[in-house]
Amino acid sequence: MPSFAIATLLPFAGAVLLPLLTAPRARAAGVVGSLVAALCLGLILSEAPAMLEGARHVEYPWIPQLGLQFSVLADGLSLLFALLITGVGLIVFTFATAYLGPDENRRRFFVFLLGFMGSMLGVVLSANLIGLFVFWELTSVTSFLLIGFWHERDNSRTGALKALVITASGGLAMFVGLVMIGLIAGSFEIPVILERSAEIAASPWATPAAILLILGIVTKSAQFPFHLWLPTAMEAPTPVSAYLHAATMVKAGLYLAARLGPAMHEVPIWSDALVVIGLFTMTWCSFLALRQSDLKGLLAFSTVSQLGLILSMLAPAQEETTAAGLFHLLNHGVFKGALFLLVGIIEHAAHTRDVTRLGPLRTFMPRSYILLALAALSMAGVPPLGGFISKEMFLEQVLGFHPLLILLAAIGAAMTAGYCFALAIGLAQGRIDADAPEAQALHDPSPALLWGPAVLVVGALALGLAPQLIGGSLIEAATTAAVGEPLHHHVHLALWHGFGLALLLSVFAVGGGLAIYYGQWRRTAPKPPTLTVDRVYFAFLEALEGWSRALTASYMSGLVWRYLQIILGVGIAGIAAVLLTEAWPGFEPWDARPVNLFEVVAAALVAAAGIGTAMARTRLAAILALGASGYGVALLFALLGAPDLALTQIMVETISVALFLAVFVYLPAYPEAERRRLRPLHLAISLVVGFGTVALVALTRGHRVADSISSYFLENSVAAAGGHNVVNVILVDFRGLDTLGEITVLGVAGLACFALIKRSVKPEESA
Amino acid sequence: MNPLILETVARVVSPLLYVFAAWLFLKGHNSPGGGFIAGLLTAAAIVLTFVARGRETDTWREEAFVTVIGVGLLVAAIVACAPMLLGLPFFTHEFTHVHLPLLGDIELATAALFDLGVYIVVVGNVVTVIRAMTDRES
Repeated sequence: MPSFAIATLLPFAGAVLLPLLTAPRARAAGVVGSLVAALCLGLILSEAPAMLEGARHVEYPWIPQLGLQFSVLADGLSLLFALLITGVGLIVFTFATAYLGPDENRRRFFVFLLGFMGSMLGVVLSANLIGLFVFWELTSVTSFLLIGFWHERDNSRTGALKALVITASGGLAMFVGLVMIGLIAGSFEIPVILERSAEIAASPWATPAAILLILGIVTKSAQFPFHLWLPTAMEAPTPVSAYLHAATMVKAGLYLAARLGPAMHEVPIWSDALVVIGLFTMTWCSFLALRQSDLKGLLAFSTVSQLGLILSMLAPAQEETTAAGLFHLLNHGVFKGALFLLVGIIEHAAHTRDVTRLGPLRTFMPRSYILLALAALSMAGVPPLGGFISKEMFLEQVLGFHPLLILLAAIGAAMTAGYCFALAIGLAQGRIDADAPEAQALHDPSPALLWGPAVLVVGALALGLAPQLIGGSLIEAATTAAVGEPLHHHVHLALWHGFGLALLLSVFAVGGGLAIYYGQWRRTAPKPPTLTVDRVYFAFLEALEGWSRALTASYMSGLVWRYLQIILGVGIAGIAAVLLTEAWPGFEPWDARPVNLFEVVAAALVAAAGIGTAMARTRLAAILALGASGYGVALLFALLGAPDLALTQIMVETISVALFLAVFVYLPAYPEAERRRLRPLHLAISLVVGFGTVALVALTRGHRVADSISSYFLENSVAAAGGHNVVNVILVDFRGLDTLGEITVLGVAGLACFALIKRSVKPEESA
Repeated sequence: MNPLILETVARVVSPLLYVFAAWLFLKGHNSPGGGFIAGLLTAAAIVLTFVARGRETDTWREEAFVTVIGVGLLVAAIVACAPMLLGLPFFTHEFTHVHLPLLGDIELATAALFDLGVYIVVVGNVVTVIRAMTDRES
């Protein structure tokens, strides 16, 4: 197995083993997690030279009968993302080890974080659309768990749910789109699909498929109008925000746009829609970022805005734009990761993230401040940092777009610079006096926390000073993979691009940023606006809950006999529909063997016990009679040659009786007066169900349209599965997947039962 | 029923039930039995002990058997996925026969490991539900 495939599995293995190795609050969990991350980074690095050379494609059978396989695709694009995931991952893992307090459940945290890392690596290394989708959804699930890590807080739960609702619904839309693309191309293997862009463009289904895929991309990457989930996802612990919601997970959408670009860019709506959405999001969210007073809120909107910028570059799948987008993606991962970790450090020291309540950082937290300023300046596009180069490349490419889009991008770039200066210059002074006790509390953290962001900031500097050396071949290989054909020109990354319109725009952006900072931000306290889309989201959620409550209330009466009426009534209607619409050949008696006396006795016992249950005077008698009826059925099974069923039936009856006895005291009084009254409707339903079932069995026995599958099982049980008990062999081998599904349902039902009974919030607690 | 009689009976019967469950589980691939039935029987034995000796003797943590469910699902999922590490399709089962002195011909099947997962889930589920329902405090 190649080492990049091992790197995908390793985090999952770590997540499973971690609970066995460490105690819940042990710091060791972080150490183990960091080791796994380091190992993954090493494995990816060891493959890097080969991945830079060209694509590698390895397949593992999953369900070959359905054309499904886990196949791994390792090329430059995967490498760029995998390096970000494992590199930033390693820094975040070590940072979080020092960051989480001694009372936190570190083990749970690192299990989730490892699960996320594995899922994310799976997304960028999958060569099969279905495999990619599975990992994609896993990143949504792990992100949900991580945002809600502090699950006792209301805001965390709301934020986690919002992120899951939006990304998972987008994911489902995307899934339909992926299936459509797979069907058009005739394969779910990405390398095959990329070669069939002409067939995809020619298909009438191309536009709907593109729209569905775009929905997946914009929800995952929090683009307008789905940007609302990212700011509330900031309820997560800061290392999570740095890792998932800045450096990696939100870039999954960008990855998909880049990966499928060569296949989709001939569909007109693909690049048009993505470019417009991207640039609009960039500008609108940089404006919203300027109005945030919470540092993490500012960074969240800034992330959304930067993702929009990158998306607009990746969507056209042209070599120059893609190179600009991918290089900015690398820069963004580095500087935004550092910014988030530094905000975490500031929050630790100041116990607030509110910019209006922070003292002068330059005086009290000099080291953290320098790092913060450098990272922010890289985002602003100030030389000689990495962000300057990619911003310059972006502006140069934007000049090829529609004039309105150029204007949009220029305004966005200026506002971006504006909030970056708010961080880099504004926090130096702070907004409260240096003499205030809150300000005096500020202090630089221990080196254990500081080295992570320091490494990232050094990276941002290095990407500016020696871009070609560090990023050149990586970006070139990634661009080649994302464009899908050999490049016409080599990618050349340099600090100095020469005089031109792009430089002019850069100067305009930085100047505009300074003007916004000094003219507006410095003078007034930012007031975060309420998002309109947020109101829409909550109104929608409320309406949905209202409808489902009304619908549920219409049939959930709390009366068991009412439920039975509904269930059996629907059953009767179903049977009747089949009996009346099918052309039946009439009743054909089958060669039934003669009935013996024991069977008659057992059947009579079942019937008598059933009637007894209905007639019983007390509840206890009814329960015992019901049990007798069940044991009678077991006896029948045994007599008719189904020992497995009989055994199961006996066990189920025993446990049902135990359950009845357990809840006996909680049941309401037995309705004495009601009991003796014969209810004609109930009697009618019972009779129709009973006779209808017998009639259906009799009719279907004489009306077989296909050969029974039992002979296959009987013939192959010993030969193929080595078991003489065919029932058991079917359960665990032939139909093992069904059983896996069934025990999952069983497990979830048990969990739900436990949660409903044991963990239901008592009225006084919820107030 | 007199609790003393019930308790004495339970003391004798429940070990037998566990042995019987183990036997049903091991024989399951070739004669009636298997993980599902053995799981129900084991759960019944556990519940019998609780009923006979009173819930006070049930000193397990509240969510202990929820964890059992998780372990069972994990075992089943790992058995299902493990063949893929060897380059075989999902859910490939293998079996082999070994000859041991005294015990004779023993069949080793990966399907039995999957059945073990089923067994654990069933035990966890039934005991979880019955414990939750019989807890006086809730």
